[in-house]
Amino acid sequence: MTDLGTPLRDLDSMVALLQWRAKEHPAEPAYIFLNERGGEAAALSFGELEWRSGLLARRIAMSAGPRERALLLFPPGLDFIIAFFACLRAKVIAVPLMVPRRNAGRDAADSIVADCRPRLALTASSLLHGPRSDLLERFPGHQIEWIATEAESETGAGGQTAPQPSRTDIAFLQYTSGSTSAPKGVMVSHANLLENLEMIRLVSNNTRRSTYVSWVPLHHDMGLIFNVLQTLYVGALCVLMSPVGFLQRPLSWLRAIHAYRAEVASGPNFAFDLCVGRYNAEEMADIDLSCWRIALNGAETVRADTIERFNATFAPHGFAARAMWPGYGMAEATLLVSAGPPGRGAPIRAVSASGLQQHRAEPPAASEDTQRVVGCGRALVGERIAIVDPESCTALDPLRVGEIWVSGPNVAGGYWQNPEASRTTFAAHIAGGDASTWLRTGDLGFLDETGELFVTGRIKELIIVRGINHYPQDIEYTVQASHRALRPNAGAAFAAADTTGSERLIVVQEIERTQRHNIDINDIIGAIREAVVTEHEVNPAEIVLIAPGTLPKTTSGKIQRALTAKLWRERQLKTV
Amino acid sequence: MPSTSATEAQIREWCTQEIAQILGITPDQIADDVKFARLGLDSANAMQLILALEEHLGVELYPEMVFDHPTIAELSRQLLIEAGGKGDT
Repeated sequence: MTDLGTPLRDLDSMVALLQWRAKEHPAEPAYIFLNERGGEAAALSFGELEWRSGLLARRIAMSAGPRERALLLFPPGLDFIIAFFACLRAKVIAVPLMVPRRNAGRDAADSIVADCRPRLALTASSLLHGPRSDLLERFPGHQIEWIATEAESETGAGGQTAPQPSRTDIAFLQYTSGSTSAPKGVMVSHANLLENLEMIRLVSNNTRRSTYVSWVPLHHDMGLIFNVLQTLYVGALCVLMSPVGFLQRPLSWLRAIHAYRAEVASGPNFAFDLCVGRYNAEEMADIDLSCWRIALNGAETVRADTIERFNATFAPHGFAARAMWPGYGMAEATLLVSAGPPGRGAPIRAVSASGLQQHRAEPPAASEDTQRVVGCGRALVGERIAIVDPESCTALDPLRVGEIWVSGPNVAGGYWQNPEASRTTFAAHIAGGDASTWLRTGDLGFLDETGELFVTGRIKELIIVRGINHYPQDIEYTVQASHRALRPNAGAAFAAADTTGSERLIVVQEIERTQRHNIDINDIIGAIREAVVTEHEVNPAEIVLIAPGTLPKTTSGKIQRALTAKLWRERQLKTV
Repeated sequence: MPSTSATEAQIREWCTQEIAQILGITPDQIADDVKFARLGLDSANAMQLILALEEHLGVELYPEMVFDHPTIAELSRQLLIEAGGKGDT
């Protein structure tokens, strides 16, 4: 147990952090949850969080021991936070999950459960017993004990408390990587969290007065770490609202920032577009955003157009362009990898599009050769970023485009029970470099002369729409299962930028040889669209049906998605 | 147009127009009995639709309504009940 006034750097675990905050300012509000009308639906002080998570921890300890896993499945609200800390205090590994959508036939939850084999699932009674709930049916065949936390927390009063976790203990598994069929849980330790939280504190200059407002889901690393855990770290207030409420009324996010005089609020790029798209002068009339000091734009590609539109739209409401704070990060590095100094704004750099294809960042030769890229800041304190040739693993000079590699105490220990993927992703070495191990991000980018990171693309075949990662093989599987006229293992899903630079999904699929003379194209395209929207929540911008045997594959039969994308752009595919 | 007097046909036509606009397609591409997912309406679009419907009809709706009543025909019928309007027949 740490003493009052202990510097943050001396804390050994997130539990010690919670106990220190609760001791230092027990009655201060830590979290507020807003309802859809902007009213305060729930609140927790630092002391209440400590007390309630302690009770629930004892209840958890009756059913699960250290290093066993507990799923967290909660509707938007504050119960998730209590359950998360209760797991940490019981030394049970928390596994935050998105509540499976009704209607979806096949989602990641089932394979995540198979991967981490949880003993417990913590949830809310409304999800467990509510009239519209089918939660239990979504997890058939797994031996999981379900606990509705708000009903059960008092029953733990007589139980035992676990000893303090150590720095190297795993705090939680972040399952945002890997395809639906092969999910990968990033093992985030207490040390990883404390290190990244300190890096974020140093780069953002946030303090106890830095109120946050967030709608980002808590099963998403930005929602949990950047908002809920960072505010606990610095002792600030975190005001939360539901993701659905934000999507419905994006301006309610801005209204809450205004009302609470928040300094920090974050979202993926699409969130900023959504606010511009729904701008309504009347609704914004009395909104003053001059308090907003840090507007983190991350979790998907940061767009120069988005930033300029947002700045222009909300400048009359006091939003300062210098508050825009592009950042780069990923779950494998706990959360944040790079961000700029606060108050600098977003550096936008015009480079040659053809130069980028030659792996060089150079001035555009002509205006039609221009691609604008956004600077995502520099390496955080204690961390290194290198740009590396992904084939030869040699480090590249500034302004050369290569794979982004990261080394530092925020890089997680690996993927849960997956030593092979952990080795290739988390333990890379730079050829001719020192003994350091590096995280391979799978993203492409360059560093400028000052060390500013610009993300330009990605090697990994990932499609990111509205901040959610989609793996092509999952979408291809859904496509091929949607209609009998479609050939298995003969389709490609990939991302393509539209005219505004936003990422959209393109599906290319072969039809069966036997079917090619008696097919109804519209019927097949409708079936594909329905299946992809239902299973993945993405509407394909284009669905292209091609002749049997014409999808580019390697000699070993591997689908060549990049080549397919190139042929699609050049209109060279043999469509039916 | 006072919301309480909207007929099912009016609601149906209005929904068709709104969905066409959200998806960037023409209203004649939207049959009454085709599932929204088949048209490409995802949850973010559904949210947009709900919001527009709430404003138009002056009633509060729940976000999953579009998934529970996934065609123009079914949704309009339900909206008529929620809005307390009168039927066609």
